[in-house]
Amino acid sequence: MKVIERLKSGFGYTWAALCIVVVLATFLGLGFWARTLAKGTGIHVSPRFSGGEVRQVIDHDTYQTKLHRLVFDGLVSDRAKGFVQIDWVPRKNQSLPAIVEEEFDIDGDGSIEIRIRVDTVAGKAELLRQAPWVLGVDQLIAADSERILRVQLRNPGK
Amino acid sequence: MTAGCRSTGAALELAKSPGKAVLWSLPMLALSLFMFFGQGGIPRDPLRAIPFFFTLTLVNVLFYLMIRTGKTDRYRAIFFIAMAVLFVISFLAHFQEERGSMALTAGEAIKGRTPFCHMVIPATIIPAALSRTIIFPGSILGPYSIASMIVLWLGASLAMGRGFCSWVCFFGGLEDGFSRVRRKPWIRKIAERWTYLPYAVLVVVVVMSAVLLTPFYCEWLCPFKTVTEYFEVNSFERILQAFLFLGLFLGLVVVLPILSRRRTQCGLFCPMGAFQSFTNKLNPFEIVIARDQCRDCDKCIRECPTFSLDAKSVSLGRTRISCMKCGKCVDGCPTGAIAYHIKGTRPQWKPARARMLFLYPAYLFLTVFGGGMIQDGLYRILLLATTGSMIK
Repeated sequence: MKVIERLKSGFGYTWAALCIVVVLATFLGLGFWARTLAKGTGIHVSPRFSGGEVRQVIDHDTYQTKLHRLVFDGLVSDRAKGFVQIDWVPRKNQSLPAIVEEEFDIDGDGSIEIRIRVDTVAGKAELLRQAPWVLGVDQLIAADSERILRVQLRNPGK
Repeated sequence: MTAGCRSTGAALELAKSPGKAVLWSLPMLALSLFMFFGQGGIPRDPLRAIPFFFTLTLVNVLFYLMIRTGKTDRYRAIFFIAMAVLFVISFLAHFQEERGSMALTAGEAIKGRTPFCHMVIPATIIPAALSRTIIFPGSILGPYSIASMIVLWLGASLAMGRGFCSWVCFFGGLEDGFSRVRRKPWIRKIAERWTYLPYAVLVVVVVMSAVLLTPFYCEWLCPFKTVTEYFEVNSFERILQAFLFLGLFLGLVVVLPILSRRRTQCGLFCPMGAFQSFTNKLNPFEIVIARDQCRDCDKCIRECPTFSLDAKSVSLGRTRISCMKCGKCVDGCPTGAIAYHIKGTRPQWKPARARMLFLYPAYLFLTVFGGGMIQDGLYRILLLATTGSMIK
């Protein structure tokens, strides 16, 4: 009985002493542990916040247009409604034109689904042409010198 | 040693010997010097150097006093409350500097520049488990990042379990402070059933976040949005949210703690706290009550800030799972029946040693985590005093 008690006691003290090591390791290796956690688990910010991966970059004289993938991501399967995000990013020391008008093949099937006109100064966006499953402009966001547009979509596969 | 002073006996022995207290404080001095100087050395700017040395001195004086007097909560609370208040000052000044506003705009959110705080962790579990995505508009790596906060939370949880809520949480100090405003409580009795509310809130937050794929707690229930950052108020929904945040803050963090002398947000509402309770099982430290010394005066039950002691738990000689290891009951027990304990060791076996073994990781975490907040908060106050503005 005494041996078991001593073993338990020794284990308890070792565990308690290790807590100091845990604290030191947490702070001294914070960057390493964070990178390991991110890499090991593969966690990433939900595309509902980040906009999803950039699928296509279109170069213009003074800016780039970045078309993201369609986002219908749900918890376990795709959702009936989603969005596509488009970023207009000025080149270094440049600014966006006052009016940007572009058309996009958002699902990569070779046909144009949307044509958009963005007033970058007034912060207004207008859909000039849209496929039936394109529901409308969700929001146009000013982020630094960029303009970011989200267009609401209905999932054609649902 | 008499049974009545078993838990404080060793501490009293230390109190009799300042030399011994200094000796016990030296490892913390060495560790704090190592951690403080390791974070970039002495700042060249005098406005930053003054808070640096002040904080370094403060943390070591408070630790020395903890050892010398045998009182844990009294000195923990000073640091903890200072950390919370100065965190708010530092945070707001920082974002005024970066964004020119406390408001989180859609642009900031979409760029992933929202600082990730530990309160979001329970909401992210199901989506992270099922789709490896974090439902938060932050960044995985970098300053204030999701991965860094999760690592800090994991480290703190392993080292002190729900002690996190009394030694690490930079919001907890606000209501800890308000709960100490009055000497005697106006509200003396809060029905036990309310202590289960945080678990219900936890379930609601986890389920709603998984269904809506948004951090439900941050969007609707976080009282601390009032004193940190809030969503830009530009719609009816945002106005409603702002009123909810303000109401919850005033009710749970200010008014009820003042009236009841309890940490009501932590004990009756916080879903993160409820979640954190389970980490007490992963941790070697606990609070125990020596039944042979207990006079059943119920002082500990009345004074526990987080409702973690009741008649049943006291009769069993332990706290409820929600114990935050703040040490208030240990400090206040008139017979010294309550003590820190290491699981696996005999009950009441060398409680002063158990306390020291708990204090080192807990206080070190507080020092490193809170030290930076205290320094920056003080810097902002000095900046205000010398330049008239908290921002550069």
